[in-house]
Amino acid sequence: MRVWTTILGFVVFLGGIWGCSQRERLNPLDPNNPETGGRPTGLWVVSEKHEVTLSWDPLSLEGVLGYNVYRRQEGEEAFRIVDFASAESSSFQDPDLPYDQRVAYRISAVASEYESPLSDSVSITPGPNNYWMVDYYSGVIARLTYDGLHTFFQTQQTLLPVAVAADSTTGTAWIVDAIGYLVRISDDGQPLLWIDGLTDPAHVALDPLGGVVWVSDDSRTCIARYDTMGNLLGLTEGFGEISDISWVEQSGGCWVADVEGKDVVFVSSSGDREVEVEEVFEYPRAISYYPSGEWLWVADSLRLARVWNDGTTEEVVTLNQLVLSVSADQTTGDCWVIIATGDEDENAVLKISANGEVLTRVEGFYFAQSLVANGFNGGCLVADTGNGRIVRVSQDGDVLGSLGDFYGPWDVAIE
Amino acid sequence: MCTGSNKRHRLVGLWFLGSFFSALPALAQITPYPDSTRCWVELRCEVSGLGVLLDGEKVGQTPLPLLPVEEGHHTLQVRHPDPSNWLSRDWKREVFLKAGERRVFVVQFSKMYWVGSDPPGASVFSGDRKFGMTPLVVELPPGDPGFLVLRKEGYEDRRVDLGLISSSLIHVKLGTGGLRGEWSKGSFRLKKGWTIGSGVVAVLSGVAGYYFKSRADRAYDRYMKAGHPDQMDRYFNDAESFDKLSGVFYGLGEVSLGVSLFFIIRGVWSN
Repeated sequence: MRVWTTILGFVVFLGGIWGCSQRERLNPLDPNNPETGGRPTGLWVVSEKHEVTLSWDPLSLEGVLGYNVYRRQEGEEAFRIVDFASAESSSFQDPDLPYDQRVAYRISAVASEYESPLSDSVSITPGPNNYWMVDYYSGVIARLTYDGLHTFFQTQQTLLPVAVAADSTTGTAWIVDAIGYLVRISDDGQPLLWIDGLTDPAHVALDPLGGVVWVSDDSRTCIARYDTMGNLLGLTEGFGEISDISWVEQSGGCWVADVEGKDVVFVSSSGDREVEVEEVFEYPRAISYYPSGEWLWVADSLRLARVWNDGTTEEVVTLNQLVLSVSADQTTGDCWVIIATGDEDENAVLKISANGEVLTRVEGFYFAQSLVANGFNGGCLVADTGNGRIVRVSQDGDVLGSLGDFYGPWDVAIE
Repeated sequence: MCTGSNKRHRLVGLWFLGSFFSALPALAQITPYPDSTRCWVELRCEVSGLGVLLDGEKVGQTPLPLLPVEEGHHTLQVRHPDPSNWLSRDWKREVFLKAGERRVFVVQFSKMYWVGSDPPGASVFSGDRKFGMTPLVVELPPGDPGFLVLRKEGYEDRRVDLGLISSSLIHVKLGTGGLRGEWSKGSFRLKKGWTIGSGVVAVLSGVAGYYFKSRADRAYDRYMKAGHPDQMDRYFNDAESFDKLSGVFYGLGEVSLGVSLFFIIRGVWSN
């Protein structure tokens, strides 16, 4: 009896071992893979003007002949095959796409007598320009696509990036770091130039034509000018506390807002204070120049004003709410602003015409620090700092999407 | 009527008379000067107070320094200290004493054990001496080594240390894997065979388990590289089957290794 019991127990033991054996179905193309369901993964898309680049996780699998690339453009009901990529490739370039039309992609892996299920779709809206963004809290610098919903890269090259100016001619950007650096970043996220020795820099503006970088320096009391090689061209001192700067394309000079001096000053390309608008503003917090109209938008406490090149001033509208940031639409001259609503940390974004009409209003932002107008589509991109996201707003005030991969996006700039 | 004081006086008197008469035999043993017409016997014993009989008549108790005896054949007998045990035997000697002779006897009792076994029929040894087959009564002379060995074909030898046993009844259960005892050559071969056999099974199972695990890994690698679901299913199922076989052999190896270690440890422990 004991022998049989022992044998039975041993058989049960081996049976248990037999039943315990288990491996996971991790082949990405396995239809029984619980993660992928057999679909290709890792689709990533960016756009550069009319061209969209689609890439995916490569599959080094035996028998895979290639990938079918499916596309659906705006107005089309279904995806259709636009390309067959070889098994060795993991990207696809789709040129000659129209601006401002959303296009979506999916891919499938193709083997002999087998096509995998279609991947999840990714979509993008191509356009003529891109954006840069700096995240003050995480130190991340990112280059964003035209629709603001995709990143070319995210990199951490500085500690406390507070402002960014983009160079559309080279695809690079200039970043100021509150610790005291001015850094030039390439279009693939690599640092090209480091300039140190600055003191509490806070603002940066770029003259791409003249090759001059304007930076508020020395605890915001002076303006420093550098060439693109990092050489200091000159200093313009005598400011109380610089709150914003804005480059002027025609003259190569720069407007400077000084909240302590309560004035707005135009500094020429040689560093001279050519125009000073004094005893007009209470608290000129933010400025943005509109070159076609040759005027400067000024956010002055609760009101919005315009200053012409000669220094003449016009109050456009009083909003009864604190205006925190402005950005001029380079095509229409309209002005996008961030205002504080009831609670100071809660914000709304408004679009205001040159005659003071509020064209659109978007609520739902929190501690938003910056925005930039896009003259091509009439919309804007908002650094919704408190919500850790970048929000794209259409010219009609519709939120077209957001990218929420960040801690505290602080400044945005358009190439 | 007796008072309490009178009662105590009477008890003291009875005790005195009792002590006097009980001391008479002792007085009789102490004879001042042995003469040449009689024999003299001295009995030495580690246990005192044992009854001494001469020709069946009680003549005193141990130790007996000087007992006068008439010349001739006599039977000397000393009572066993444990008379209630039916296995105990008195010390007894048949002697011929000459007149004027003085003989000294050292009284030592032999040890008696009833030895049984399960199964019966085991040979009982003490050193080189064989007593017989169980069940039997064994009488061990004084100075015996103090242990018995039981042997039976097909069973492990059992060694019984008598110093550790208080009872005179010994019952030994013989087994193929006894708890304590010396291994006979045959039984040692049996255990050695188990030990080596299970060890070999453990090694072979480990090799087989490793082999199937390698096969499973290779099949899983091919599954991971397969680009067609049919191939994936086939390779994955192969991997799982080989995994199971590997697990079974590894399990068998572990059990065999455990068995082998068990026999090794038990052998070391028993010795």
